Amino acid sequence: MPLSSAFLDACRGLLGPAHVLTSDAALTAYDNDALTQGRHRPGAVVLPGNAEELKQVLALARLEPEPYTLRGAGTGLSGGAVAVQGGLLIHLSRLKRILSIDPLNLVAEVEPGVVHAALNKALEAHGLFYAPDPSSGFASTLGGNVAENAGGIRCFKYGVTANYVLGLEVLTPAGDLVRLGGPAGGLGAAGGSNWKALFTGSEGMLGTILRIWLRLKPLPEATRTFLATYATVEQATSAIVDLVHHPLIPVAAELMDPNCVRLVELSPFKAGLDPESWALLAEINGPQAVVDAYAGEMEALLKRHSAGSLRATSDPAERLKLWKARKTAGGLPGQVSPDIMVGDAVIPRTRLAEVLADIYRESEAEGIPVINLFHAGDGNLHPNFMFDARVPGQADAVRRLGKRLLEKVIAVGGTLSGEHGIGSDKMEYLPLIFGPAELAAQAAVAETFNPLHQLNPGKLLPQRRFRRPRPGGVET
Amino acid sequence: MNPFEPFLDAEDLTACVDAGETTAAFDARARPLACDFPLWLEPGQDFGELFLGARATPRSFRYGFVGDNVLGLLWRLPNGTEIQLGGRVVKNVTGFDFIRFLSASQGRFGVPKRLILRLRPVAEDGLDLRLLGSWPGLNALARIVRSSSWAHVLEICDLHAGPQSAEIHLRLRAKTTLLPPFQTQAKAWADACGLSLSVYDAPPQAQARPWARAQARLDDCLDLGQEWLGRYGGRVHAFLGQGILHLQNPASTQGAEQGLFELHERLGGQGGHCEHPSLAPDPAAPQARWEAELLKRLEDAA
Repeated sequence: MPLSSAFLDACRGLLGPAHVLTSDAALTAYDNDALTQGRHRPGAVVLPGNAEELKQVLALARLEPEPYTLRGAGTGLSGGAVAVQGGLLIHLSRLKRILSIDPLNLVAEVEPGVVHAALNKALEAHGLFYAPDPSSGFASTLGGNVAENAGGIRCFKYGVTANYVLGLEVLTPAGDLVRLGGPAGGLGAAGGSNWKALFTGSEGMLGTILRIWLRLKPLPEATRTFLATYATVEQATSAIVDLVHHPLIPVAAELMDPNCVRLVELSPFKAGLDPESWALLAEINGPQAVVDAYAGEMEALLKRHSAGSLRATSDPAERLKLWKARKTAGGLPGQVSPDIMVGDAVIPRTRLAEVLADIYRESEAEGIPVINLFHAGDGNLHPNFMFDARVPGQADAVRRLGKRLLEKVIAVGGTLSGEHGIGSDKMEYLPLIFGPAELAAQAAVAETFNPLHQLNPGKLLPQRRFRRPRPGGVET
Repeated sequence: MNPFEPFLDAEDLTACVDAGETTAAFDARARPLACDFPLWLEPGQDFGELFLGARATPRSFRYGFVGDNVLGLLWRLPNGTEIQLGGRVVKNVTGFDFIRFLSASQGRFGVPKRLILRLRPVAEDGLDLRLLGSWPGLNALARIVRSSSWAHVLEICDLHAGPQSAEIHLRLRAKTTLLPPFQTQAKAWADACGLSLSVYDAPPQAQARPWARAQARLDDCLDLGQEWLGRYGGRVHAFLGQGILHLQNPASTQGAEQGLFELHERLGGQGGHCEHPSLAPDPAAPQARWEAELLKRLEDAA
């Protein structure tokens, strides 16, 4: 059932015709997010320009017998911002004001459409930064980061988005407009439970985020980046386990396999990496005295595992080059393969070599090339399976690979997703990790806030489907 | 693999413990393996009580809130049903984040039976410094430390104050050669803020069960602490990286309860709050409806 013309007219009256998209040409861009599998076209896209317009759009949307879904920059990798049942897609990219930066209290107050990198750019002048660091940060929005509990490279030391959310202003599907916390990071005058924790990482299923308060950190005085190369996965992962045990706690511990390194070195972002080796990027930061005191120790640690080469640098330009190579590497498989499937499983760090060996063995058996680049210090794997969905059998082979990988991950004590979310992508695998009671607990949260599943249906749990009323009152 | 069978994996820095195990008993098991769970208040407190009651502890300045450091829970709902939440990995967005939600939930949604903890490596040496002096000087110091590069490595930055004196406790745990430069830096801060600096023989301890807790913006903590002590006496212990104040032993609990109610209203405007048995959640707020509904749905579902 399409969105009603009365609804679309009301949106045009409210937002202006330019901010209500209904043509196929315009809607094509919203068929998927960064996960290319599973395309679903929304009935219309609206782009409110401020919080007041957003509230009014949501009030109209709740009355329309169609689902509605929220979207930031569409950089997610789990299909979370895709209108899988059609209906309305609310694109929040125009809500991009940084409302305040409070250096004394280390708080930024932002609208949900602020781009992650834009906040960090604005914070530089205050000597501050926002620590979570998704690789998509150049484009992804903070609202999307909160909705997915985004992680990234610096998580190893600083933790995930949830560690930095002090407060949220949300509007629930039932129409409750509530501030959960705020610059003080507590519960607010209502007291009770820590609801902002439940909304963070809720994949846009519990409510619409209108405003966010985030904890900031001072920029470190000194930073030193290390690039070590290893001939084997065992050498590289044993170095990672040693890094995990270092009491300084490095900022990052990232691994790229030789397949990934070769792609990087063929790209404009080449950084002089050895294309036959595993590349381990690590970084430490803090006061100059601390970085100086530990630099030699870090080099010794990385060499101890038979490093083929080791570079260490504090030069900002060289560091930027190395990190650019790592961050852009995530997009390179998509440039050389018609389709990719990116995994996001997390395992105990001590099982890295074993699970990676399984991934290579399985992908070779299926004839599907794989590239691994990942947050090794957190045990967060990102295998990129490269395939062509037009070739008969390849999509099925990738699905088999994905399932076998997750079964292995769970067998070693891991989980399905570390930072991309479940979305529509991994929904079918939840029973691998949750029993009936745990699945019911997940459903209980969704149904407390969104019992009709009108907001972002078709995510997390298969039964989360919006039932459109039929003429005569029978639901379909 | 059932991650909720008790284990201590010093290599992966994770452990599953019974809720009834005390933090001291666990420390005795983990320390010989060069790791620990850094967040605790009193050594005799068990993990269940710590998780249900406390948001932060002294070492939260470096390691974050208690809920950020618990990876998994075997949870018993009020009707006795047990559910598994989270797991044993250090990043996990599989489903809703029950763990941070249930942290400091005071038993409203049930209790933990077992917890999976994120452990940390133990540094070889440490230094605890005491910076003592006037409230304006301490306020200036807190601002300097928060915005300094040392904030990335300090373990503790806490205020301890009573009617007679107030001091800030700074702790660095690191390799031995770093302790002198840290002490030199702290001396420069002390001089700039008009404070005296000494090394603690025995740093002040936290209380597991303070009379009340408050959460405020970071820069309000010292002013609030001073104001509270001036009116109600007792002691204040504030975790200056989290904006959490433990209000301890007020001289008159009756007057303090009224003062706490007023403070709760004031802090509420900034997204802060106070916690005390006399402060019930607002029954008219949507959150009260959510709470009742979620609990009912959880129990019905289980």
